[in-house]
Amino acid sequence: MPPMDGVWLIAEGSTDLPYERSSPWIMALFALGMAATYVGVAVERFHKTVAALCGAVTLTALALLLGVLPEYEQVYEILAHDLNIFGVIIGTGILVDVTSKSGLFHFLSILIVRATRGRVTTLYFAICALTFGFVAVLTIVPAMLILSSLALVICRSLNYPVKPFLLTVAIIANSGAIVTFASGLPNIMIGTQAGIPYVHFLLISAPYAVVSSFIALAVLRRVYRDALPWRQSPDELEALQAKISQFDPWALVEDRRVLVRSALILSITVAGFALAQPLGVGMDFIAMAGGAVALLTAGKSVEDSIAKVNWTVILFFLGLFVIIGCVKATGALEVVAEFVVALSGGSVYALTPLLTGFSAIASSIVDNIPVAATLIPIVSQIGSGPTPVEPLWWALVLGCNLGGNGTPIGSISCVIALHTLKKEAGESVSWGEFLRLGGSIMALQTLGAVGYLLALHHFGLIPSLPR
Amino acid sequence: MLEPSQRQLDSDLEKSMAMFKRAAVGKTSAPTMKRPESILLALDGSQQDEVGVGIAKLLRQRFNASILVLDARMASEHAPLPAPPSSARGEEIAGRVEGTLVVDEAQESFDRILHAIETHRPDMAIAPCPFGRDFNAIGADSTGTVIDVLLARCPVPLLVTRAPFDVQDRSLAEIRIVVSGENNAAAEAARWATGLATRGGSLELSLVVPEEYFAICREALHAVHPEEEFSSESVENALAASYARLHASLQHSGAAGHYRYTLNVHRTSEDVTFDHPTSEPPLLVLPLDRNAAMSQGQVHQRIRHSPHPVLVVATHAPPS
Repeated sequence: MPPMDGVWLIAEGSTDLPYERSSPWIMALFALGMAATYVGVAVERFHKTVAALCGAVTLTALALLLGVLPEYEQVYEILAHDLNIFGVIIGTGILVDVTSKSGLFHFLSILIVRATRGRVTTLYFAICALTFGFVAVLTIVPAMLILSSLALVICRSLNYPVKPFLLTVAIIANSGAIVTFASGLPNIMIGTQAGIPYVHFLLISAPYAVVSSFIALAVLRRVYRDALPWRQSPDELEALQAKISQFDPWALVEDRRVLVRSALILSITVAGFALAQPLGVGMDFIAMAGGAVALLTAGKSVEDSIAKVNWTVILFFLGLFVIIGCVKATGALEVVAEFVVALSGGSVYALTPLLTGFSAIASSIVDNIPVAATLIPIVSQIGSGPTPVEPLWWALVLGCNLGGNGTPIGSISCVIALHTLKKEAGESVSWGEFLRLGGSIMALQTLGAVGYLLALHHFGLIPSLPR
Repeated sequence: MLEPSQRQLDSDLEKSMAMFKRAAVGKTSAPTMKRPESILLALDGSQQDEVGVGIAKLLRQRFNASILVLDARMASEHAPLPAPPSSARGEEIAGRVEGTLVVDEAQESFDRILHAIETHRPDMAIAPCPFGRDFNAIGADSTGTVIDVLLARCPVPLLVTRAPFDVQDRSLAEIRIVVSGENNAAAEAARWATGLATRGGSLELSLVVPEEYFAICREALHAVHPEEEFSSESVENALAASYARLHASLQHSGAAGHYRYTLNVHRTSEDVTFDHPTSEPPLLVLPLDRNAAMSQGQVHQRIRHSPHPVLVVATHAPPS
């Protein structure tokens, strides 16, 4: 289908295309290949990494055969562009593993839970705060493992129903995931591609992370108004205090020095992320440096910590980047970008809700990493035109993460929480129940995100990205 | 985010829950420290006597303990000493450690030591192992009859010296309590270990899952539930959970005593190379449950394979 004249004008203005645009049938073929890979990623039958790698091999071969990539070395150029993401994944993976082994997060969890004295209101909000903070620092999976197990153990000890706690943790985790650059993989991908400094996350997405948490809590508190004993008598509180004081956080610490050292390394690394840009180094350098120092102090568990790096994710990214690079080389993504711009008239007031909504809905259905990976080059292409790109990047960050609340499979936090609830408490949550709860929260959060970003843009509060 | 496999998820969740459960120890406080006020130093006439002398002097300096010196040598490999024993060597050593020479007329060395303990009631006994034999000749092959009997019957903690080393002021600053499985003497061993710990030194609680014990459990469980996986981690978690209170109380003692305290849970015993120690070897503290065959076997094995001094703290000896 021939593009509209207006769209070709935009295309002619683009200086980003290193290759000639392929013919439409080739674009369609590669888009189909990418779609088939995504189906493979989405269905349970295939391992996601295997699907990604097979897709990469197939499209690379096709690209060379059909002249989309003139020579094989261009595959290296495609990957070289995203090598820093691997550094961040490896470095933070090691750091998180070594830090977790010190018992730091379990220690902090019990310390804070003890301070609540077992009172349900304080405990509920304390666990939410812990979830938010831990996800921001640790990323979703390690944080969810800690908070899910904490919720289980504490609820059993205090005789509270575990379902409200677990589902709350799952939903708040998706808000925590938008706090910083390193809170989630989509953030790392988007932040790296867009060149978003760490500090910008703290200025733009972190405040909305807090807002979205409050939106979620307002809904959750209402939904669970009868499920938890929000009003407790003094006698009940005394009994709860006696039970919770049985927990000693120091009993979780094998070596105090290692605990303190881990906390120090983690804090310095997080500070390093914020200072990476002024220092003129990449986030991957900071992550690898933090990981290296953590290994230096890991003692006998060096091999173990290195083995814990998520190589499955790294290989998945490898495959995904090659796939998208090949598709991008055909010019297909540029065509999509042009279509999107045409649809919205190039207006940021239309593009922002479109991107936020689309990325949220897509992320609620499929893994948010392929969603982010696909939309990144499209946004990048849009940004090469006159449309301000900054709100669009943030739309992607917020949409890809908050969309995870939409369905039971939208986010790994929901998957973990529901699995834990079923296995440990024998309770199931139907799709209908979750859609009503999570879907409504997601809808409110997404609408809020759109309003937030447009307001920031309107008042010129979104900082420009370094060129 | 790519999700972990269900098995990995279940395993990680179980580990995390086990950690939190370990925190449920209730109110704990530092163990009541035990320190020697009176020490019996048994001599065997070998090179190892110097190590005993050095350690006795060190403990006297640290705790103002009184030293009782007993010459318990055997005249030859096969014959005990005629009574009464020559006391020249004993007097010389007693002078060096500013202690008191005690005598006993028993024929066997182990009887002499046990009688002296019964008569003079020291808080601790020091004896070389192997007793009356060359350490380098025996090595890790045997603890010897005297030590075997003392392990079975000695009513006070027994500090066994092994490879000779030059005792310095900082010697025995590193203490390691090694516990394998459930052990009724563990708490008492901890009291002695905290009593001997020094400011700026270190104390480690090493919980060991013996390899053969793990293998037996795994085979047994696999026979009953072939589809289930039995990981060493779950056994380590169970061991750590059973000593959670002790660990928590030792945490308090470390903080109060200004020494570094660590917990180390692992599947096999730390490999101890049979090298001669430096001037600052660790002191191994082994709880001995005399009613448990596994405990007895492990203590014997640890002593045989340790070139470092070992303090054995035992439950009461069963009536003979």
